[in-house]
Amino acid sequence: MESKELLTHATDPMPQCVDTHLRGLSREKVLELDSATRLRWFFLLQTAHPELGRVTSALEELLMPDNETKIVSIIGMTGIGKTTLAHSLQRVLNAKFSAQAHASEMPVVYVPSPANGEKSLSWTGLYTRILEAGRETLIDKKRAQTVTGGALQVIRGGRATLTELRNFIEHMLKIRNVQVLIIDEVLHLLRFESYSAVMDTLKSLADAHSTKLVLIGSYDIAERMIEYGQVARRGEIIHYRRYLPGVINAAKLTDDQEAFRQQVAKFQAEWPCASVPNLLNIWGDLMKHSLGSIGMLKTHLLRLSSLQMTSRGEQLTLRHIHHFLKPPKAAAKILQETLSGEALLRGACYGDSPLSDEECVKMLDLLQAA
Amino acid sequence: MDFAAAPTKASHRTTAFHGLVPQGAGTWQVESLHSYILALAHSHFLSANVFVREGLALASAADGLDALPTWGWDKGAGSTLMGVSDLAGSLSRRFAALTGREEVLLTTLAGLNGHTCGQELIHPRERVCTKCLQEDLDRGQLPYSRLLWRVSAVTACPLHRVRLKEAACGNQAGHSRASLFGRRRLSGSCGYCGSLGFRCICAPELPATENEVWVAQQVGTVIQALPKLQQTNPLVMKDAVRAYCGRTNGSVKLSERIGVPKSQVSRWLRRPEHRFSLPCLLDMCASEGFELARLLMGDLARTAWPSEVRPERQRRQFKYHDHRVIEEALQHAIDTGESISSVADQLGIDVSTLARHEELYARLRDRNQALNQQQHADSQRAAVAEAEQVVLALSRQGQTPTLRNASDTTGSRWYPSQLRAIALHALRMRMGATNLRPLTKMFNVGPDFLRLVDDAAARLLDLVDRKQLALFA
Repeated sequence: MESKELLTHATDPMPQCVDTHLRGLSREKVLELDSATRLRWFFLLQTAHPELGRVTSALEELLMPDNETKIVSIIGMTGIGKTTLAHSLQRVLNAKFSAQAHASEMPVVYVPSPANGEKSLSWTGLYTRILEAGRETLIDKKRAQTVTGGALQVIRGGRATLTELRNFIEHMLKIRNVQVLIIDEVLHLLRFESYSAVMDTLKSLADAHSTKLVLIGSYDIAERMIEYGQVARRGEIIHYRRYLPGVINAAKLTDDQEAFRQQVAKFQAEWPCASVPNLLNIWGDLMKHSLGSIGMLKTHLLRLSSLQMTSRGEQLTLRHIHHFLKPPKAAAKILQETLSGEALLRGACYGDSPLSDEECVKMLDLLQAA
Repeated sequence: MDFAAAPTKASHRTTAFHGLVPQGAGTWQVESLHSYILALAHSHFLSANVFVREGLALASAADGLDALPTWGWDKGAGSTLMGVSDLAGSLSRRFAALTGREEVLLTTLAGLNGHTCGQELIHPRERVCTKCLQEDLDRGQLPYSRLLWRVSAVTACPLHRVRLKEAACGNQAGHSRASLFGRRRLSGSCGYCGSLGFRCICAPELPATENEVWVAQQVGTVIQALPKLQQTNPLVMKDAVRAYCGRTNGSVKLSERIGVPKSQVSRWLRRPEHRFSLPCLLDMCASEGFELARLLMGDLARTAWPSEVRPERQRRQFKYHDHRVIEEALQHAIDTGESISSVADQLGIDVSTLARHEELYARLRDRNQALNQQQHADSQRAAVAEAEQVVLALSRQGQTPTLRNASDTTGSRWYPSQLRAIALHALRMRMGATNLRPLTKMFNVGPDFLRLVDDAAARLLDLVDRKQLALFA
């Protein structure tokens, strides 16, 4: 199989039971499998790192029930791993809530909102995707009913209107006891119309059952999120940061550099080929070309491993080194967007205190004083 | 939260359908499976038919379950869904799996499969207590149909002590075509005008008798005890009744008291698979002072029911006959020519009782047979004679002897099924009519009749001339 085919096969959605089985395998078992499956296993691999831990702690605090936070935005650079984070969030929240949830309840609903190729937002399409994610059946045949003068009436004919679809969603959120509604790639919803109208609609939808909204997107939505009043009042932004490469001094690494280096070591330890390249020798280059993003690092390593798998004897060659990193112009574009996004989000995120460190210490002392 | 240690297994698989809890679950007011399905369809904003036929199939396939037969699920207001049938059990188990609610298993009487049969069990139409429905509305919930109301033996509401009403729409305006487009079926609401709580029913409220209230209460306790009854071996009940018969005056007397033939009681006690209907079990409880739910569990503790509580079945009447009177009646019938059945009617006894007097019975029977044969022969002779006369008269008038001409001549209608019409038709054939086919009934009249027709034809041939004979051709 060619490297491109391997990568496509590895990253395409697979049946959940297959992925679940793969995740449970050790590296020794995986090395006995075919190349496509090994690459898929490497793709599914998730490792903990400090930034991920920080984001998850923040999410845990914000998603606790009965606090005032209604909207949580997770913003990060392209390819840092936001969608992967969203899927993991769904699994973890399901595991957390399932202990108390009935089998018919759905604590977390994940809704992807891909670009629809149209010039305006399709509310019908979005509402339908939300209903599908909520495991609603025969959506195109649903029609709402009303009680008029003590008599039950149903609206017949044609397709359900937007109002009806909205009613279906509110009912689904309530009856499935949805705690968290995750909408991924939310930029595709906000770039057409007045974003505040879109946000108001989404928020009121979630308010129907006190469901918390988690919106995931890249820096493109940062400005909208900062300016949207409801986020300011009832929401928080979580910045999924990259590790800053900086200047590498081998004698004394920064915290970010050390964290990134450890990630490289983890990926090396789980390399999907028998012949393991010494990634630690080039961790600095990897950090520089990945812009400090663990997601981009993994993308590069996936490509490298797929190239290695297609070579004779699975040995790395010079051609592989030429091809596994992102082209410089693409990387430069990503860096430019990242820098402007980081600047925009400075002082706007959860954990960005208006107090200096000294003021925080002083306040804590005052609070703890008798 | 540790995302890196995110569970590798899918820890929570949501059910296909909303997890509605059946209303009144755990009480005698539990809703029926039919009502639950309508409520579930309502929750999914789908029509009941689409929900059952398509939604159930899709959900079953998605969960890797076999498809269930759903054709005719709504027949008799879903009466097949609530009894002791296999379909009721299968559907309740399927919906319990697809909603995650075990309480759905108690919305049918399938748990009584070994205790009672499906005969006279479920009423084929919806009956409601409008007061109960109004109370549902007052509590802020949608009205629903109770499983209790669908049991045929139950004709009253035990709570309000009024008779149940047939769910018939009393709103004439609701039957117009325009309003039909706005209908959606929901249990506890009129399927024609959509009135919640069947407020459109015009029938007056009638008070229930004590007996009716007692029956409803008994069935209500059974419904409430369904979880326990499902675990009970039905043979325990039979063993207890058998022992009870042994302590009292036997199964024959029991059968007399409850109005069931003694052979049926005997079969029920002897054969494990034989089941009494619910009304029959209720009669047993009314007669013997049992509580139905306890009886089904084999507990025959007796209770003194009010005097108004009585079995529905008529007690069998055992008559003692005076056979001297029967003999005299038979002799009289032989003399006067009465039939056996009229003698039995007059005496109010069965023909088999008359037959016990073999000699007289045989003489009466033979005599009546001879009389019948004589009458039959006479009627055949009269029919042929009449036909002969009509044929002669018509031929002398120059008319073809058809049934129409015969009707005109005699002033009475001649129908092809009449003997005289058959005789006329046969005469025409014997006298040369080649364009006629035999009537079907001609094959049943017998050789004597045809001999009479031949003789008549021979006489007519002597009487008519050639010109008249041409009329028969």
